[in-house]
Amino acid sequence: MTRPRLIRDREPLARRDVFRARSRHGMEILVAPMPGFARTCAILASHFGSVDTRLPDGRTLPAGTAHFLEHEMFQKADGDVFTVYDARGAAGNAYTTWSNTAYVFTCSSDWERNLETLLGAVSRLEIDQDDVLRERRIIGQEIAMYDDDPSWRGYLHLLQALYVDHPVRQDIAGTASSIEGIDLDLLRGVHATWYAPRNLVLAVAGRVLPDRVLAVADACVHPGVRGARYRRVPAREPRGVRRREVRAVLPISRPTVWLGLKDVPPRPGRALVERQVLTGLVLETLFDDGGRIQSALYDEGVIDDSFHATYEAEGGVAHAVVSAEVDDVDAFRRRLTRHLRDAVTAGITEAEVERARRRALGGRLRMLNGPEPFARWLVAGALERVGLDAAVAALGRASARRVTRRLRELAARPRAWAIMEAPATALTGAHQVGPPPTGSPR
Amino acid sequence: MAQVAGPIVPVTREVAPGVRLHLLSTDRFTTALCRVVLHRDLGAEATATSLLALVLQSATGRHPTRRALAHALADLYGASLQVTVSKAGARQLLISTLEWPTLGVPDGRRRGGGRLARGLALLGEVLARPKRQAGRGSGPLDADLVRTEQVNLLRMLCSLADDKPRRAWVRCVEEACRGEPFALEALGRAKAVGAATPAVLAELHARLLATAPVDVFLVADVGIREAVAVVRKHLLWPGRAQLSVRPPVASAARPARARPRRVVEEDDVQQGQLVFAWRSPVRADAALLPAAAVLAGVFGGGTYSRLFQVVREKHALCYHADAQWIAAQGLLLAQVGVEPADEPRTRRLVQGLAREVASGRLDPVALDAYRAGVRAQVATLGDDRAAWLAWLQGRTTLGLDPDPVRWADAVDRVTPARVRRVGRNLRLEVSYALLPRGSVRRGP
Repeated sequence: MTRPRLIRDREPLARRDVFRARSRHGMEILVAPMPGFARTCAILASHFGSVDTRLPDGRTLPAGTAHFLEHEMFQKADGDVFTVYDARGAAGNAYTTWSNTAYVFTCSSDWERNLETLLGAVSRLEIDQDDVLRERRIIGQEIAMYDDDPSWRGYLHLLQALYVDHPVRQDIAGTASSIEGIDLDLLRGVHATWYAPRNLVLAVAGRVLPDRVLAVADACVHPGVRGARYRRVPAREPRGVRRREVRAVLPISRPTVWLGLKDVPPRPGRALVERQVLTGLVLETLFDDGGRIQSALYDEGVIDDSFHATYEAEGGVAHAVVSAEVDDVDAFRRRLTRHLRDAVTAGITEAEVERARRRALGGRLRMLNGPEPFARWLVAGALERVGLDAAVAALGRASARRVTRRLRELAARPRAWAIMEAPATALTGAHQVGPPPTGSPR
Repeated sequence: MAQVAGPIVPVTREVAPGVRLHLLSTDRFTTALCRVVLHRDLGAEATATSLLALVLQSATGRHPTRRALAHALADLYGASLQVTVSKAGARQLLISTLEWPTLGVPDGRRRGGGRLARGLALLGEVLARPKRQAGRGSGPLDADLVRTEQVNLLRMLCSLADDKPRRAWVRCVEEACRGEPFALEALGRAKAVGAATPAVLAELHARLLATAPVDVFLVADVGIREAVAVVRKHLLWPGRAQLSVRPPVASAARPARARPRRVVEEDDVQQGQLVFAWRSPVRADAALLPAAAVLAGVFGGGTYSRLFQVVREKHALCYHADAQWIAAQGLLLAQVGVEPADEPRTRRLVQGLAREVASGRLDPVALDAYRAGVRAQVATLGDDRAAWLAWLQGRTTLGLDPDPVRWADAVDRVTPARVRRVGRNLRLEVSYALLPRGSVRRGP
């Protein structure tokens, strides 16, 4: 077996060094020493996320399996890992997304020991049936908590309208009934398959030494069960939407409207970053604060600060989402649709692209402001096979012509609306203060 | 003694009458951050002040539309601006924050000017030169702008109830602090929005700029002499009253009422929200404050705490459970989200754990973890500007020593006997429950 080697790379904006390596057992490693910072953050991520619904042996996984496993990983025979971190003044955390599951610690001292703990914890699943039963109740309360979150519910309704069969239609945590089908055997099978070293990515940023990170990784991560090399089985998903419009009544004070544009998922790597950057510039120029459509709707009194747009491309799905709390659902839909059509006709100007580019660069600079955001950025890039300078280079290549072409592509994609209505007793329409401004279209 | 890397205690100077500049000089960040905090009483003008925040954030005389102001921020490589209100004890804070890139962008580090000055100048413009009627330099604020933001404020106030855990928390505080300023929502009240006219806001704005105590927090790669000069030149406004005003201590601790109250309300929720408020007459500036913080930390400060370990980990009754000490009010607040049928059992468990900790029986694992957490937080405070600002703003608002190392040392010295002294006077004031409709048993 060859000795792992560190390769030095450089983040293009603040010119910070980033070291890459692969551990002896195949885990991808990225290390960013951050001189001047006292804190260290490490993130260990598996490619396994909520949209992975099958094991290689054909077994189907209930919705919420990746998230359930995330809850159980820090549970150990001699106590839980959170307690170990707490005792050292470190902080442990974990999260699950559609496409990956990540385990995190931040600390101010003793980072090597904390890294050993993290790698050791994720290498072995040490739970019994009682742990599974207990955690099922806790996760049940987490699901209930999100059921009371109108934003999350509105977003889920939109995903269920946009997608026909794709597992992204399911809540990441599953449902109270789906998690009943998750048992110890299943969790063991998932762990053995998707938590093998070659399916893991480790990013460490802060007060660290790259060669020590590599040494700790080599010492603590063993091949164990070999596991399959991770390859996401693309879900069969038609290009069209399941429903063009869904409506639901939620306990909210004002209606919320969600518009989704279902994109064709890009391949990981360069195509993905190009798409993300160009779509990001489209959304910035039109929907961000001061954007062309945002400004028009704001001046017309149709929207407020709840107006928001985002683009998500992850786990074999891609869509743009525009949402707002509004007083008048029909007026908002009509005007948003008209402004979008006008923008498609007129195109995006070079001045708009330049302004959006500056904002995007500022946003990227913020990611370098601490070990946590830097480590998150490194992990996201590794999971999606994106180079350190890819986004900045793509921003440099963006032009009004290319951004306009992306806008036209996106606007032509199948779309779905999710309308979350307020109960009849809500205070909708009660926001008038005095007469409307002169000349206001309201 | 707690160990730290790099400076975490600010250098403080009075740069104008009643205006204190707190500088954290550091080169580790790619962006500069400046926050201006204007102090005022939390009371009758709370709604007008929160409306003023929205108006200031939307436009200035020079950038008279929201779009124009957004473009100015974009030109600073995506500067982010937030003008908002918050509350601390009997105090309302009008808080304006700007963060903007200074490293990795053209002119980023040019001394005496460049992007640092441009950012401060824009923040000064937002604060001191609002958009007025007919583009004038004085007089009422722009009527159309005020009307738009009145509607937006009403919408915001209305939407607060959509966040059910937050709603439960706010209702418990209202009940626990009835008759005190702290019971008031920092954003104010819907019924007072209409009275905040352009003329009222202009007068309020002028008065605040002239007389309100002001704290300016700056995190940037700049020395104190240059910071004082650049803040005076670009950020500060003319017309400060010639008096040196220091904000009074915002603390308003008092003993609990004789009998605790139980409040149960219903809403369209899946999960029951339980919120508890206990009181102990420990003022923010009392020597017992570190002991009160330890009490709250061991009780519900993290995953090591008794609430988390017993209610969640042992009995699997909840997903989230936490507690905190509100120093300005001498309040211990705890919140747990549970299956509605488990509400009585959880309530008994939580109150039992509060009694356990208040009696000075401190779980050694939780105590060590809380102390270690405080030390770690102090050690890395200079890495995290949001945490640094929160710490410093909280301490200056309460008139407390801003040195976090001394705070960590004080926490280390807390003994069970000191916690018991706090706990001896800790009384449940309100037990609040927000439950699904139809789940509350009615009397005959």
